[in-house]
Amino acid sequence: MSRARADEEEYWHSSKFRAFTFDDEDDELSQLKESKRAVNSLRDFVDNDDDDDDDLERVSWSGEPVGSISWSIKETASSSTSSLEGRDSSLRKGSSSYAAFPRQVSSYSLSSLFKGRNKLPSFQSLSDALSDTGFKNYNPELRRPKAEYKDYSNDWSPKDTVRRMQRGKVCSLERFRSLQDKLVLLDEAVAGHDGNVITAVLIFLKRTLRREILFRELEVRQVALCHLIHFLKETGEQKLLLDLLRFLDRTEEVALSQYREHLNIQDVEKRREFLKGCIGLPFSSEDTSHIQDHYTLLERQIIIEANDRHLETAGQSEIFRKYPRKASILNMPLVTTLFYSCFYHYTEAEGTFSSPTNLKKTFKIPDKQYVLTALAARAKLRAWDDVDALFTTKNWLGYTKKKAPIGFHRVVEILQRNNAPMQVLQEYVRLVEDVETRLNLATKYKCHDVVIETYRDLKDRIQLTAYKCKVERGSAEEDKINSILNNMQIRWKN
Amino acid sequence: MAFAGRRDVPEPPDFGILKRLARDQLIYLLEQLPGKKDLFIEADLMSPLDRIANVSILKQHEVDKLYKVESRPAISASDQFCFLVRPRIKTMRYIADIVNADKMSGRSRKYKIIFSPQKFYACEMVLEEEGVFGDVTCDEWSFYLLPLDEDIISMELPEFFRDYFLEGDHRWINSIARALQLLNSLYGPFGKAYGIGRCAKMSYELWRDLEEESEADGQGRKPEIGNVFFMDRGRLERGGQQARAGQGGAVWAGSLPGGAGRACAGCREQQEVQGGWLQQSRLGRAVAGKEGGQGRSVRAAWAVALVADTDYVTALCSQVVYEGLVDDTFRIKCGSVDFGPDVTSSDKSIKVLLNAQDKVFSQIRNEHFSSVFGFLSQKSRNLQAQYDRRRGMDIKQMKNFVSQELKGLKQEHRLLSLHIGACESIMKKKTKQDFQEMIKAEHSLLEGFDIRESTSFIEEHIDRQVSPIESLRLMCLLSITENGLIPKDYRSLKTQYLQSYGPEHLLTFHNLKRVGLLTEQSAGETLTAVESKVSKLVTDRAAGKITDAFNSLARKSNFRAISKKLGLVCPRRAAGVPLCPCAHWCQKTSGQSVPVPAFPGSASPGTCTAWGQSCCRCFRQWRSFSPRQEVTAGFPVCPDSGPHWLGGGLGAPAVQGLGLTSLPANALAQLQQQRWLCAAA
Repeated sequence: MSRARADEEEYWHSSKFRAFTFDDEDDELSQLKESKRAVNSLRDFVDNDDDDDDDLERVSWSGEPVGSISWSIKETASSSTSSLEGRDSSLRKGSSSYAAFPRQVSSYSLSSLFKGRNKLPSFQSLSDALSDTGFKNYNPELRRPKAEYKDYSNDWSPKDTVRRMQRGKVCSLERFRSLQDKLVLLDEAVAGHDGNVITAVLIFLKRTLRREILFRELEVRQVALCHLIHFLKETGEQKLLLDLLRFLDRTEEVALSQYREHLNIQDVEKRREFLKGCIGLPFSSEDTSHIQDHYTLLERQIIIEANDRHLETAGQSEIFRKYPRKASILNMPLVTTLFYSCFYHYTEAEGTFSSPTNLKKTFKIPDKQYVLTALAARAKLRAWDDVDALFTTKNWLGYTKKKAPIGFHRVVEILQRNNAPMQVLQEYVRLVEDVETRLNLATKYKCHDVVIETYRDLKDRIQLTAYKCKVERGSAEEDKINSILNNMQIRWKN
Repeated sequence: MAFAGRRDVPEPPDFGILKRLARDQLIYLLEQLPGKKDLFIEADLMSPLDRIANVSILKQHEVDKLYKVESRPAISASDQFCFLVRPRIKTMRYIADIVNADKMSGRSRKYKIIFSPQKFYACEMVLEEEGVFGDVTCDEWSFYLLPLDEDIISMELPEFFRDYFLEGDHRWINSIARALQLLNSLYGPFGKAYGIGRCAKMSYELWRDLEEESEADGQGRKPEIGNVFFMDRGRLERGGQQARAGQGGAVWAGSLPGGAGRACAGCREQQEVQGGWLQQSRLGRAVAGKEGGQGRSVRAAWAVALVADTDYVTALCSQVVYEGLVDDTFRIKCGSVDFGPDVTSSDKSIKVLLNAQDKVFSQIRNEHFSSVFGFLSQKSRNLQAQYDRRRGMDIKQMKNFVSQELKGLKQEHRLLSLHIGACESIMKKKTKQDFQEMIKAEHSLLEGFDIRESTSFIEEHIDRQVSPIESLRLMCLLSITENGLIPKDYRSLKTQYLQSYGPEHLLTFHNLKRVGLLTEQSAGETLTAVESKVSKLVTDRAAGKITDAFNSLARKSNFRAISKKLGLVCPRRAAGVPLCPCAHWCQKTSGQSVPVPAFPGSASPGTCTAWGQSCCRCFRQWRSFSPRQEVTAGFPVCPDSGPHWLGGGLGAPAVQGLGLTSLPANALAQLQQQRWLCAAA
C-alpha cells in the first residue's frame, strides 16, 4: 500500500498535470481535447458492438454536458452514493497532493457553475456523474495520474457495466480500482440477478484483492459468497475454498469438502491414507464415526482383497474355483462386503478379518441387516443348512425355535428367488405369522400343504373345497384335502 | 387425447418455430467455420440436438465426424474442430487439453466453441488460464427452449436445480430471462405475469430489464400467450428433462425432466419454465383449467409458467400413470425413450418419440397404470377386427383397404406392440420391487398414519440394497411429510444407508439437508405453548414424558396441516367411480395425490366446476404454502382482478412425476454417476 502510494506520488509529481484552477482556461481546454482524443481512441476497443452506440452517445461528448449529467444522475443516483463517499475518503487520505486543493470550495463552485446555488445535494449528484464521460474534466476531484484518468474517462458506471455484461458484451473491469468501486460493482452485479456476471466480478475481485479483504467483504454479501464458493468448487481451487470456509467458521463444510477429495483418489493405498487423515477433521460426532468406519472398511477390504486374490490364483480353495469372483471388493459398501464375506468366508472364526462375525462386530451391523445379507448369500450358495441355522434359536430348556428379526415373508421371498427346494420354502412359508400373507405366499409358490393346513385351521370348508381343483388329480395333496374334508371332528365354520 | 377432451382450450401457439429458429441458428454457426470439420458434442446436448437437427443436416454443413465430449477423440485428421457444449468448466479444460496437445505436437487447427445456451465468463477465464484464449473462437447458440410436445416446452437445463437450490448460484437466471424474451417476441406480449418465489421474481425482473430495451417491437401484436406464471421449484420431474409446455397454458421450464406425467386430466399439460425443470403438468393443467373456463374472454389463452420450487411431495411419490411409469422404467429424455430389446422383442432397441402424435400413447399417457392393460387389450381387439374385415372383401374393397387403411393399421400395430411390451417390462420390474408395498407406504406417509411401519419399510428397503435412489426418495418423502425425521430415525436410517450404498453418501446426505429435502427434527422445537404450561404443573420427570407426548402430537407437519386444509390427499376411491379432475390427479400418484393447488389463475370462482372450486380453496390458502413469504409479499395478490405478479405459493404439486431423481438428483449428484435427481455432476 505504502509502496503504491509512493509510486503514485512520484507519478503525480512527474506528471504534467497541475492543479485545477478556474482561471486557467487554456489548460482546461487542452485537457478536454486530450481526453476527447483518448475517448475516441478507446471507443474502438472498449466497445466493438455497433449497436451500443446509442448508449455511448447519450453520455459522450456529442451531448451537452448538462444533458449528460441529468442522464447520469438518473442512472446512477441510486447506486453510486456509497462509491462517492468511498472515493472521497480515499482521495482525502490517499494523496497528499490533493490536500493542496480546497476540496470543498472547488466542488461548491462547480455546483454553482451548473446549478446555481445548490449545495450539497447537487454536489453529490455532480460527483455521481464522475464516472461518465463528458463531464469529468470539469471536476477537480478527478485529478488523477494520466493513465488512470484516461481509463476513467470513458468507462461505464457500475450499473451500466453490469448491464452490458448481462448482455454478454465485453467490458473491462480494470478501472474499478478502489475497494469501494469494486464493492459497488459487486453489489450492482448482485442486484442484477445474473449469476454469470456476479461470478465474473468475483473473479476480478479475487484477482485484485487480498483474500482476507475479499473474504471479509463477502461475509456480509451472502449471495456473492455462494457464487464464489460454487466457483471455487467448480474450478477446484480447494485451498482457497478451505481458507474461505475456515474464515467463515464453517468447520463442518471444511471437513466435508476435504473428505470429498477422496473421491478423486484412485489408488486404494493412497485413498486409505487420505481417509485416515480425514478422521481428525471437524465433523459432527456422528459423521466422525462414519468416517472412521469408512477408513476401517477400506483397510479391511485391502487385506481381504490381497488374501483372496492370492487364494484365487493359487486355485486351492474350492469356493473360489467354483464361484470365481466377478469383481474386486475394494471400495464396495459395507453390506456388499458383508455379503462377500458370507459368501466366501462364512465359516471362518471370528478372529479373522474376513469373517462375517468379525465384520458384524466391528461395524455394529444391526441383526436385521446381518440376517438379510447372510440369508441372501447362503441361499445363493444353496446352503440350506446354514439358512436353517441362521433362524434357529435354542431356549434354555433346549427347545429349538425359529426366529427372524425380519418378517418370514421376506425370508420366503429371498429363498424363492434363489430357487429353494419346496421343502425348504414350505417350512418358512409356514412360519409367516399373518394368516392372509401366509395364504397368499403359499398359493403363489404352490406350497399346497401350507394352504391346506391353513384352511383347515381356519375351518374354512368352502375355500378348502375350492382349493381341491388347484392340486393335481390323484396327488397326495388331494388325498390330504379329502381326508380333512371327511374328518368329522372338525367343526367347520361354513 | 390431448386437446380432444377440451374444446374450450384454444390451440397452442405454433411452438415449432422455436425448433426452426434453433436449427437455423445452429446452421449459421456451423457455416461460420467453413470447410470440413469434426463436431464434438456434449453428452447431455445430444438428446435436445436430436430434436432439432439430424445427422444429415449436420453433414450438409460439412460436419465430418461426430464425437462425444469427454471421450478421447479418435485420432482425427481434420483441420477444424467445432465443440458444441454447455458452459462448464470441466468441458473447457477438456477442450484446452486438446488444443494444448495439438500445440505441443506442432499441429495447427481451427477451433470453435459453440456454447448452448450461452457462455459464461468463468469459461472464458479458464480458456485464458489455459493459454488457449486466442486459439479458439467462441459463439453462443441461443437454444433456450425446446418444444417437447405440442404443449410442453422445456429449457432442458438439468443443472439448474443443483446450481440454484443447492449452490445458490444465479447463473441460469439470465438464460431464463432470455428465454422469456424469446417467447415474448415470438408469441406477442404476455397477458399477465404471476409469480412466486425468489428465483421467479429475479427471472421476471431480469427479463423486464432486458425487455425494456427492445420494448418497441411486439407492441400491438396479438398475444398468443395469455398468462405467465413464475414459480420457484415447481416440481421436478423425474426424467430429467424438462419442462413441458402445457397446453392450456403453456409453461415451460427450465428443464423439466422427464416425461412424466402429464397430469391432469382434462386439461392439457403444461409446462413451466424455470430453470430447471419444469415440470409439468399439473400446473399446467391448472392453468389450462382456468383458461378454459374463462379464457375465451381473455384474449389469449396460452400461459407460460416458470416454475421453480415449491412442492416436492408430488415429485417424491411414485408415479402410477403410464407415462410416469415409462419414465421411471426407461427414462424419458427430451420426450423420447429408448425401448430395449425386452420391449421390442427383437434384438435391437428402438428410440420412440412419446408425444401427442403417438396415437396410442396419447390415449394412455395419463391413465392409471392398472387401466392401461384394459385399454390396450381393447385396442388390440379392435385392431384385429379391422384386419379381419379384409376377409370377405372383394378386390376393389381390398385395394382400397390396402391403399388407405393398411398403413395406418400397421403403424398402430407397431405402436401397440411397443406399448404392450413396455407394460410387460414395467410389470416385471415393479413386481420385483414390491411396488404394492411401496405405494402403501407412501399412502401412509401422505395420510400420516402408521409412520412407524413405513419407517421400517424404508429401513428394510435400504437393508436389502434395493435401488439407492428409491430409498432416498422414500426417506425424503418421510422427511417432508413429517417435517423432518426424528433424530433417532435419522441417525439409524443414515447409518444403514451408508452401510448399504457406500460411505461417501455422507456427502449426499449433507446436500439433501441443505436443500431441505431430508432433515432432522431438532429437539424441543416442537414445544408448544400448551405443553410448556402443562409441564409447569407437574414434576420434572413427568414433564419429560409429557414433552415426548406433545412432541409426537405437535409433530404434525406443515405438509399435513396444509394437505388437510386443502384437501390435497384424496381418500381412496372405490374403483369405477368417475373422477373429478382433482381426484384424477390423485390417481396419478400412488393413488392419491397432492394435486395442484393453487393456481392463482385458475382460481376464479365459477370456472371449471369442481376443479375451479378446489382451486379456489387452494388459492385462499395459498400463501401458507409459500416458504418465502417475504419475497412474495410485495406483490399484489388478487386473483380475480388479475394481478400482475402473484407471490405466494403454489404449491404443490405439480409434479407428478418427479421423482426424486430428478430433483435432488441434481443436487446431490455429485458423488457419483448416479442419476440423482438430475444427474449432474
